[in-house]
Amino acid sequence: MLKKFEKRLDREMRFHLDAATQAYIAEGLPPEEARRRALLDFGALELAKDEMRDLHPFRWMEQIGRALRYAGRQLRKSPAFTVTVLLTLALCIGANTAIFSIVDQVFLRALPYPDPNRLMMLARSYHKGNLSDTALGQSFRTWEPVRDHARLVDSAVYSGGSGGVNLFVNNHVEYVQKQEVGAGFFRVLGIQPLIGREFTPQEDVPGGPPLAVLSYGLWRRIFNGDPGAVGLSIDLAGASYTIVGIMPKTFQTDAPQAQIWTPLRPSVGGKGSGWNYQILARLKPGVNAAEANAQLASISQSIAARFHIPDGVSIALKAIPLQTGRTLDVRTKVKLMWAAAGLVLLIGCMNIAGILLARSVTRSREIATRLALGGARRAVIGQLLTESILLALLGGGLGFLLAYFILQGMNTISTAQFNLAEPLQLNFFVLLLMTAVSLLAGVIFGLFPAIEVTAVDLRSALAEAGRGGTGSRRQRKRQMLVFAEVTLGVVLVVSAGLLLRTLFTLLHIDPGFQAKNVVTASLSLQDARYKTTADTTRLFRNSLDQIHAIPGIESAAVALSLPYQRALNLNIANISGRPVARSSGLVNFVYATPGFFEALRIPLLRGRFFTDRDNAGAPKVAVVDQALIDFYLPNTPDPLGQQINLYGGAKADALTIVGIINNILQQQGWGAEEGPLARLPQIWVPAAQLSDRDYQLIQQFMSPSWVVRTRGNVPGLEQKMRQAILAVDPRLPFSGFHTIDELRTGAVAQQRYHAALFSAVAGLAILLCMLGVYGLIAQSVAQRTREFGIRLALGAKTDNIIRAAVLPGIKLSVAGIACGIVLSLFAARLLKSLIWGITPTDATTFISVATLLIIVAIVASLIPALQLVKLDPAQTLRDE
Amino acid sequence: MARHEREQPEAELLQGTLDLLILKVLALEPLHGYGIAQRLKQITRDALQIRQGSLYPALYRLEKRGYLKATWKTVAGRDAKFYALTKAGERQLEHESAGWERLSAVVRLVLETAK
Repeated sequence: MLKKFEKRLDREMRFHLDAATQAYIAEGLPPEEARRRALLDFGALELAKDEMRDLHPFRWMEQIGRALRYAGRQLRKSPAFTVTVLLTLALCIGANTAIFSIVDQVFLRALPYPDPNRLMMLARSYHKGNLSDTALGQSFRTWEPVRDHARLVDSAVYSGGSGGVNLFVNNHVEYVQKQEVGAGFFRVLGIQPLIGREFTPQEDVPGGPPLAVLSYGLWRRIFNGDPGAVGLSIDLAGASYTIVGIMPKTFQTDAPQAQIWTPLRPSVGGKGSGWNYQILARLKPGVNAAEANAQLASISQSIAARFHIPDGVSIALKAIPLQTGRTLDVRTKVKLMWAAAGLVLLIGCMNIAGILLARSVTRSREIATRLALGGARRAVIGQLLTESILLALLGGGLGFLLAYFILQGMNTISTAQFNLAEPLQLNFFVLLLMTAVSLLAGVIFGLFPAIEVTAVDLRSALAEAGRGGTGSRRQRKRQMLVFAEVTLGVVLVVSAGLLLRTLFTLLHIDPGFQAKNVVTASLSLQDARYKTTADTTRLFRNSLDQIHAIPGIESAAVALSLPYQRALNLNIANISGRPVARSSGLVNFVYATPGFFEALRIPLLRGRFFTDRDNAGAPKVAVVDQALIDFYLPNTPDPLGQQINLYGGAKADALTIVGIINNILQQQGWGAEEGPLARLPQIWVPAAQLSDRDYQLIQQFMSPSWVVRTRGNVPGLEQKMRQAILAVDPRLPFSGFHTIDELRTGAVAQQRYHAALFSAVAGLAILLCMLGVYGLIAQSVAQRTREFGIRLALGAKTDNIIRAAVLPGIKLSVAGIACGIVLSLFAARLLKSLIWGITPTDATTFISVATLLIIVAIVASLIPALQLVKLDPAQTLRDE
Repeated sequence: MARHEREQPEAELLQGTLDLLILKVLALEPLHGYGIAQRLKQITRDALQIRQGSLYPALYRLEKRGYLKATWKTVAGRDAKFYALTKAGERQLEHESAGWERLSAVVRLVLETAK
């Protein structure tokens, strides 16, 4: 396009000149002279051409191309500058792209169901004064009125998570994740089975037929994709189920691992008695969320009457978007991480603006020359902006590359942390948005110094720029930038510090037992063959006998849950006849075989542990921890012999306290105020004294663990334990082996993740602040070399000179740190939900951060200042 | 000294005048650039010093605005770009001539009154 334009331009000019030359020749001039006259008449040929080129519609493309080439040349000329800026940008954009990929998945991406905006989840919303709380768990007593009266929504009840079960089919054994869903679950989501059908309301009732819907993947794997699989039987956890449907390939629920779905069979007892259900709802055509909520509010009145809720608290069912519901408990965390990443990007931009500002000082002579030669101010700004944008795009590109690797590295852990439906990956939308962010950053950090530098006083710039003596005003601006960087940096480092302290506090709480040389393994007993106390305890006894026979085993026991795990929560109705307020009646409940306390070496404070004599026929006994005594029996002189009645039933069912043990750490199961790990009121009862009904209920969603204490290292222990269990029951595989250390790691995985993420961001912030201070001092040292040289020549001592060079950086940093600390006092409150064991104003953290950053400031200032040691005054003065 | 201004109001006026002259010349017949320059020289009897080079940007500008239409023709075995007035160009010429008449009348009036 442009080439053709150029050719025609040339042809037209040539015609004119030739014609003019011919005319002069006709007048009698010699050809040489004629040509000269013609050119003279024409005037500046290239200038005219240039003006005409400006009128060409595609002119801007060429201009940009030229500006880019020029900018590239400028960037290549100062590689240190270019590399610094590109690295800063790459790190900031990389971190932001990675975090934004999470934000995108959690908040923005549509769920993979038809018409996802009409999909809702019912939440219980509690209000008291201006306090409110939202919970997603539902029970049969909230489901029933919704099913019968909420006519504006199409709803279905289901169980939120999935549980592992053993699947046997065609001689194939597999441990798969099973989710229980109510009739209509798939219809409400809007996904029909690929083959077959889903459960009908008539089937989804207690005592209904055992049916199963399979995932596409499982169907392909086990039945090779044979459509005839529908109607066949499979053995799930020891019971036979009939396959009625196969779901499409991409289908996923909020339990991404689930491969089999079975009817929920909602009932007022069992799972339905607690908050173990969730309710899915789709707004019916023409109904909006407000209308649905109005109807739910009227239904809520009948619900409130069914629950014991404290005075002054109101409860209401509310439809919230499914997207929100699925991510309810991670939204705040993701927002905080996003804010942290945004902050570091801001610091990065300020840093680059500072560097560009400094560069503009050294370039002011070049720019002043261009302006003096008639370059339009707009063109010069445009050129400087082009450089910034080129940097922004290159840096952004590098950032994307970095983000790709970050996502690769943190994919598994992030998917688990945020309960994401799909693995994290860079998608087009994220990249597009982050490109826009990079560009915006480029314009912002580029425009500010560009305007600054083109507003120069030409005369003084041309006179002084060579010496670099100009720009004290600019120096001040740069100081402001560094000050702001340090301030924001402190906020990030304090945040990371608080989260790190949280993690270390949690890791260093005395667990209350001896964790060394203990191996644990869990086993799902959600099996039709373990429905009675007799069968279950026989399995425990026989398997423990086998395990005890392994050489090197000191002791072994079975317990429902272990330290650092989440325990079953039950309510205490009364203790020795004294009722316990419902709101405070929660305890952790664990069954254990005799020998459990000995195996973990939990210290006995009073009374005794269980023995084999505490069997099904003996009086019911319990061992409790000190926390239970402190909470429920604080003023009882002799807690031993007190009777805990869990269900408020017959007196014979009450548990007599026979022993009190040291507190051990558990993962919290209720109430956020206890922290992720806490010493909670807890009851241990002998496994032999549970009822058949207890086992049937508990085995549905919890798997007991085998605990083994060894004498030192036992080679091949896992294999030997597997064999021990298989010798008792060949169809029971252990699902996983863990040391207590691993359980602890698992319990604080979330805190570790937060601490790691914030530390990475804070580390970046420290690096940027260091660069900022370094750059500032390096610049001032370079500018004041002459002054320092004169001072040295006049007899000043080197260390005085260095102090003079370093002091501004340190003063500035201290001011920034002080400001940042004050700001952090407010910012830390936002982190409150992530902090545990320390206060958001934790003095240790604040003091450590301030000290760390002062050291960073001193180092960053000293490095450039130490160059003054090598300063030769005579040389400096001669250079002038 | 601090700022660097490039806009010069006189240049604007001159440019407008050149545009008017070009339109006037082309109203008679289509011509190529050299022809226009020659014709302007003739008409103004060399009174107006126009660098021939500055003629072309004006031609391109007028073409871009749609007042002129260009066609390539062969003159004495060479390609030359001929410019012709469009309908819009004719209207513009009328419009500018009227404006110019008024302006010169005003200037004349001022000069006479000031005498």
